[in-house]
Amino acid sequence: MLKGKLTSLVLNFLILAVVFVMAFPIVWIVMNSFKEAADINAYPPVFRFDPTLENYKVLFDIADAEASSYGTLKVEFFKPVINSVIISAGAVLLSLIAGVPAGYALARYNFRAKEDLAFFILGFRFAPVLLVIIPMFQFFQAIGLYDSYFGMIWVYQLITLPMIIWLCRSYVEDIPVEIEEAAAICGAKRPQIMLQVVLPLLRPGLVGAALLVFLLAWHNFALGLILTAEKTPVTVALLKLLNPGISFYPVVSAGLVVSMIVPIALIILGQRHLERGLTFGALK
Amino acid sequence: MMREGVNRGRSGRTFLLISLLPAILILGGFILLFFWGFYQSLTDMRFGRARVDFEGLGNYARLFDRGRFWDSISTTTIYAFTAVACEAVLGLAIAKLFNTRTLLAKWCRPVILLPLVLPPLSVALMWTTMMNPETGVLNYFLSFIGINNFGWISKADTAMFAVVFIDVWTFTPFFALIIFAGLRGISPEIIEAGRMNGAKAWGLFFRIELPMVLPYIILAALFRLIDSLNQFDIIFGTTQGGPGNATNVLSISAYFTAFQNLQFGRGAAIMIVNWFVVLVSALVMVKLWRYTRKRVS
Amino acid sequence: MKRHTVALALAAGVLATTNVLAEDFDWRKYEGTEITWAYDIHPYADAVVAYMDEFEELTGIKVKPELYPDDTYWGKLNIQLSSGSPDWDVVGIGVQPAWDVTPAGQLTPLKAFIEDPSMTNPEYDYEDFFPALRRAWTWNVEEEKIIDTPDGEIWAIPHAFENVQLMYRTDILHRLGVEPPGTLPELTAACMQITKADPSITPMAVRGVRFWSSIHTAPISIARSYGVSDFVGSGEDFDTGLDSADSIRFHKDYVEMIQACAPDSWANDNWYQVVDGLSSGKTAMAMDANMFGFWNNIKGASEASGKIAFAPPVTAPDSAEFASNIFIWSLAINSASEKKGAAWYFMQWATSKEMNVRGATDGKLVNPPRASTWEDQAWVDYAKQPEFNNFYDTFNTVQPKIALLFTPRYGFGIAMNAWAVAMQDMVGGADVQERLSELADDIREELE
Repeated sequence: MLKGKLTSLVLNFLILAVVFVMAFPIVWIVMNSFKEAADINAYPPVFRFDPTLENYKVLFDIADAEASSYGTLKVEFFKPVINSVIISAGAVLLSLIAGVPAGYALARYNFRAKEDLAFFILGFRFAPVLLVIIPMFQFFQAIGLYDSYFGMIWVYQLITLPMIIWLCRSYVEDIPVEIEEAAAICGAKRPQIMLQVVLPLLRPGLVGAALLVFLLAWHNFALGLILTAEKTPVTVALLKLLNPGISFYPVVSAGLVVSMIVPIALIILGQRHLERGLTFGALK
Repeated sequence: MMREGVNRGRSGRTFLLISLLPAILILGGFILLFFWGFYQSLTDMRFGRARVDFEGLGNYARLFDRGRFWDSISTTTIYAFTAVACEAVLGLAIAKLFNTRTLLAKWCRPVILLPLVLPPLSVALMWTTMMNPETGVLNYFLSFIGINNFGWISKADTAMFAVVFIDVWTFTPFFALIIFAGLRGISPEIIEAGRMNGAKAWGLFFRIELPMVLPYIILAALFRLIDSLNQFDIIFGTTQGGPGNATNVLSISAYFTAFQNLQFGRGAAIMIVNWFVVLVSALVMVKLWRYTRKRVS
Repeated sequence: MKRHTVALALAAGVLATTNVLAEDFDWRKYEGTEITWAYDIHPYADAVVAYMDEFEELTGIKVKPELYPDDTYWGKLNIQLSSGSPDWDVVGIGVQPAWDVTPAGQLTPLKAFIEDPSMTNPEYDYEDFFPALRRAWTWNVEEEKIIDTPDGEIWAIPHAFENVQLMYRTDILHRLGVEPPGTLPELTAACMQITKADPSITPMAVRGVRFWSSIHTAPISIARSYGVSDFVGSGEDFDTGLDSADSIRFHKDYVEMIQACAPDSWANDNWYQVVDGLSSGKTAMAMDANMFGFWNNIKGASEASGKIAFAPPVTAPDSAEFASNIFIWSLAINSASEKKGAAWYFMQWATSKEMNVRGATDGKLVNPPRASTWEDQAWVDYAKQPEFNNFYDTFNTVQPKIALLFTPRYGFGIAMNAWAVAMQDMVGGADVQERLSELADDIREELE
């Protein structure tokens, strides 16, 4: 009994340690976003301070256009956040639509060159983007996809689609084939089996995969920089806060905090689904 | 067997085609561009100069001839393999820890994903501040345990450690999440059966749990290895490949050659080499993944 | 108050111009055109954006600013220009990057515009720009090579320029009883004195990052007073100057200075860390572009307001002659632009005498590149306010000696980036002479 208590104590302590390490840099950034420049620069670091909302006001162009702000240049931070949401979510959605059937097919069918095809798809995940950024720019300009959501969603497939296909394939392989056979005996057709039997079983896994892939899409910088002008993602907008005319660390911190809101909301929402369902393997 | 039956049928083939086609079309649109890029690596193309001459393997020959290129290869592999190995071990430990019935494990679970919410390049400026040897908050903490002025990203002998540290901090959650899903997928009956046979906790872990989640670990490692061998954002945002050439991985070297020095042909050759390194590593990982998967089932 | 006077004067001037010379030069010639102007995110951009409405009213040309963060702007600019995209009409550019893009004809030569009375407002007065700035933008391109000649083509118009100076916190130096140094060894000694008197203060900050940004401020300016040039000779004898005896002498002193003066984070320090140190009072001195000191001196801009003073760059111990490098933020026209006339109109408005004075007296367009601005009472009064300390006088001391200290040639970045990497190695402990000869070999390999 005592040993059990001790184990539990140690485990809880370890969890707290992990939580501290994972959360500290983020908490630190959140704290900085409420500090004045002088507090940010202080050493030893300041953990108690008078919080200010000034940095957020600058971010959303509602601060006085004095020395602390960006002058007459508009920051317009809200728009890039929306752009990022549209592009990343659109990319994940398209990847799910195209990737789930492909992942399913790669798991359930045996055909010549199957492994080669799977690896070929994976290959796009590590294709050097900088190598093709110039022809891609020219190509996008030529066919009118430059600075468009659709073009960005398409090019983001390089990040999202291979991973969705591979994770999905792995999940499908974990579902016992007998379940599908049972459905087939009852007279169900392939597409029906996939939609009505397999998809519900896949859902929790897909939520996790979609979440991960969304975050990776959210991280991308280079594609947004080169292929957009106004539909810039938040990663580019964050760097736009580095204005030589002002002390920008506090404002950048505020920008980072705002850019975290969507991913954190998704993690909290997604977590529930993950909790409920990551047990499909148990059917084995 | 049903699989065989469906495969032979006409409708099966159509279904297969329809399933795969969208994905292939979406990605296939880019394939020509990559051929173009490969072709550039065989030329002396430069930005700001109209003339482009075909050089064959000249760029590659010149690269292989230079000691600094081989240094970049080893920097890249050291960075990627160290980071991924640490992430796999820590990710497994964290997944295991948060899979316990402990009260805090349930409450704090979302926290382990936190590092993934920030884009590495945007947050690099913050790391640069936090890792400042004299005024950074990390060294402030280290000073409590008697370590002063640790160099982090500023000194040649600690820079590699520091960038790997950032990679590990950022992407361990990636492993933790995938492994966590794998752990949850192991049916309680199997564990119970193992326990009946008298296995201790460690025995259960090594003989049942680990082999069963191994395919997940390897799949995660595959993706992480691909990204780490190509890692640009973290390093460019902090050390830019320095001090000196201490963290000058292939992707950084390619960027400087192609976009700062404007020697695009030569930079393209470095990118192709980088791609090849990833290709070989990915092939090995995929083989390993298939192998462990077969063993599990 | 002052600002309004200037605005009125401008409005009046514009009216007069349009009336008198309507046949020759017409501000409304390109009415209804829409152009895109790409620039770095910077107070210089702000100086123009603040009055954009007036330009649109004056000309009927609509300007869409597209602003990008420093560093990444250059990557995007390269791709836009080299792909021949007509998206951007007017671009912000500096001389060094332009050496790389003009050989392939990516910028529009401007002489034809400047010399055409129907295209250029007679009051524009191109000769008013400081001679060193005009000279830096003048060269010819023959067979994709830059031929440096004083009567060559003109590739861009200066908008404002950065000028390397030594800046110091008067409060800190005064408190610690340290005099602003004049030579590099004196600087090293001053740093040791500061460290001894107050170890919590970082004596000196300069950029140390791993690309040419860190070379073009302090090192090139000081190196010149040691007699170092990036390249020497010409024709067959053209060679790097970085492994000369002077260069070895300079690097030994410079490395010693960095080790004694700069923070441990030197290798990661870009302009923002340098400026941050100075404005927060963590650092006592800095050698970088002088407008950073100016901006932080503006009332209410930072806690350093009024506390930053200026001095010419430090020199070699045996040299009384200092050298000060410049970076000229300029406006140029993309050669693929389909609206070059309207683009030129926007450029000449943005770089006009009036806009120069307004931008400067708004505290943004520093240093203004026109000689007339420095004689304009509004700017003189503004720049001589006590919070700017000796900014005005120091500028006048340095101005006659400003120059672009690099050799105009294609492939500027290759040698400079390699130099920055070598500098990090030397500060990290590599043998100076050996590392310099390795650097020289690397550069020679690239010279064809």
